[in-house]
Amino acid sequence: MLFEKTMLKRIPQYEADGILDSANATRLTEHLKKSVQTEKSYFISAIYFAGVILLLVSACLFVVNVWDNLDIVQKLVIAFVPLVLSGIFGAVVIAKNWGVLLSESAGICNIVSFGFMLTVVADTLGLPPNAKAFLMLLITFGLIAVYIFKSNIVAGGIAILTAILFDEFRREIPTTFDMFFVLIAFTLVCIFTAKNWKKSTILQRILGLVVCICALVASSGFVKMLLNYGCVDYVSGWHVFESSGIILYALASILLLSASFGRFANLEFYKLPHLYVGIVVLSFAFGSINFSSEFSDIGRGYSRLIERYPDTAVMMFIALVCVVSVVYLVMVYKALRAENKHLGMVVLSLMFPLYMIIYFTEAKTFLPYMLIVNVLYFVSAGLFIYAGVKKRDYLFGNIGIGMLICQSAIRLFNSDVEILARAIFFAICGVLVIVINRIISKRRGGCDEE
Amino acid sequence: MKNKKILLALFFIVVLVQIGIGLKSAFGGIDILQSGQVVKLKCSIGNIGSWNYRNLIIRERVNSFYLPYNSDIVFVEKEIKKAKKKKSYPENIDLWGYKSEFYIGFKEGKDGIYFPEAYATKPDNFDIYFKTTPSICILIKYENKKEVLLPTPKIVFNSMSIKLSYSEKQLKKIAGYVNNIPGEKRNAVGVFRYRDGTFLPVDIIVNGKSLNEIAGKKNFEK
Repeated sequence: MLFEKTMLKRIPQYEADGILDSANATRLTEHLKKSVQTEKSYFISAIYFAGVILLLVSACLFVVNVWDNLDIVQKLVIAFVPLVLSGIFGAVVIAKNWGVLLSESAGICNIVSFGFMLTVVADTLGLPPNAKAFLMLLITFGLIAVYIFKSNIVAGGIAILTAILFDEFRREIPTTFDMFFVLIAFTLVCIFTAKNWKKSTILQRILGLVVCICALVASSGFVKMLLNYGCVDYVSGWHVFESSGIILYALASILLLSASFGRFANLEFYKLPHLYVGIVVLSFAFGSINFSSEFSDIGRGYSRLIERYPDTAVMMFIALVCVVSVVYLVMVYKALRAENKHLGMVVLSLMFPLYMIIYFTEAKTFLPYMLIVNVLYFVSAGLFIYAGVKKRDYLFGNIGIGMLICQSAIRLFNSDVEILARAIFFAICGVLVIVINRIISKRRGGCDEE
Repeated sequence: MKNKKILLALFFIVVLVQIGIGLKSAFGGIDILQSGQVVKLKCSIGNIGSWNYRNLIIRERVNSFYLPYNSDIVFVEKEIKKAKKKKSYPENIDLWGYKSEFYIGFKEGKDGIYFPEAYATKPDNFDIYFKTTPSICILIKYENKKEVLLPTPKIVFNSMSIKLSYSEKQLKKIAGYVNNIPGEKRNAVGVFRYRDGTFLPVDIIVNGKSLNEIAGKKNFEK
């Protein structure tokens, strides 16, 4: 971006000095202007998009605020509104052949509004929950949306939903699906490690092996047997966090697979092992937290572990966590010293050891940790967006905006702040983002013309 | 151009189908709420607290269904045989991993409250039934602190949950009533509208008083 702008300024000088003839100077000016404008339009669209998301979240919160005063018919009508609007939006995007960003948005809007409609109808009428049917409907329509809008984000969403669906089936036939999942996961990690074996350093090879072992541990439920051998009640209460571990592991597998074959290949995830070691650490953390029975009981995890399980099992578990943690720290250090730094990822991966610290320290309160985690999350999202704009990479920009959307969606349902206050906050942020962007782009336009 | 028209047509059909699915489940639910059979089942109710205010709902569960073991559940059979061989009986057999579904048939009691009558693999012989999974098989009972083998094992089945939405003001009114009744003196009955195996919760009656009436909530059903 900077290079193109500098070049644009220098062309008249080059022309005057006779380095460029007037025909070439005109051609080069046009070419450079086009690339500067494309870059600007992407940046502007991304910011407007973020602003619109904030306004949408605010609108949702305002509806939630008056939700109690509505009768059943009004609630049911509201359930269909987003789907109809997303239908109109999607049709316009197809008809006008709008760009990638809006096409992705139309795909996401369609699936999210469909899921919203089903959830609100079921919730309003008290219909019995049917997770499998819900997931299968989302996956089916998601696949069609991927075809229509060529949406990579919806495709990623389908991969995650499929992992959750597998988990639903796995619970029904535990042994078969455990075996099935472990086989797939293990094969993926082994292929990946073997594929990169020659070009890996010794540290990366050790890491590969550790992850291979962790892959088995995290997905097969081996760790719970390790920690619980001799205990009859090892099944009870486990499955909630076990699912989180498995979903995270599925995500890690998707990243690895993408690194090898997909459009993410240029990201070279194998050079960023701290991220996926982090994912494994997190799945461990989730699994371990479960042993403290409740999330609120988090600070007593370690002492509970000592109380309830045999010394050898606890020692083995801690040794394994230590190995993974040390490798993680070394990898973060290496990642920070690397030529191509992906700071967003490094910051994001800091969340993983933080979870382990919460677990192992006798933390009295959860709040400071949650604040730090949220700050890390937003800093990471910001760094991703910055990297996306700076490197002209849609992928980084999308990851950053995707993270913001996820956090907005979470805060929509889960926060200790009053609903109306949240609605006003999001509305102000949305308007500010759009207005500031408008002012900056007007000024920039003026400067460029000058 | 042609491709664009095809995509538009496909998307139009997709949105219509999505709306159709939503309308079908909405009208199906409304129909049950308006004309479904009223079924009352015993349930529990805890204190109304911060969790309820945060989520603006009351979520309770119908009491688990205890029924005498009357047909072959392969897993239970194996466990009983194993126990007989060892001559020691486990207190409960955890059927968590056993995911075969059964139909629980209900019968109306003299007090108008329905109770589980039997279970089967098909619902053909039941007027009112609920599809669910077993959770525990109880083999022994304690008499004078001694383990005694039950003549017929009991199977405990998972029951349905009751989720009712209220506003904060309504929850405060309900809390004023429910929280003042000591836990052991609370008699709660879940009221459902029923059709073809589907139970839709509409109300909870606590010690003879409807929570919807206490909250001043309008009933949608006729």
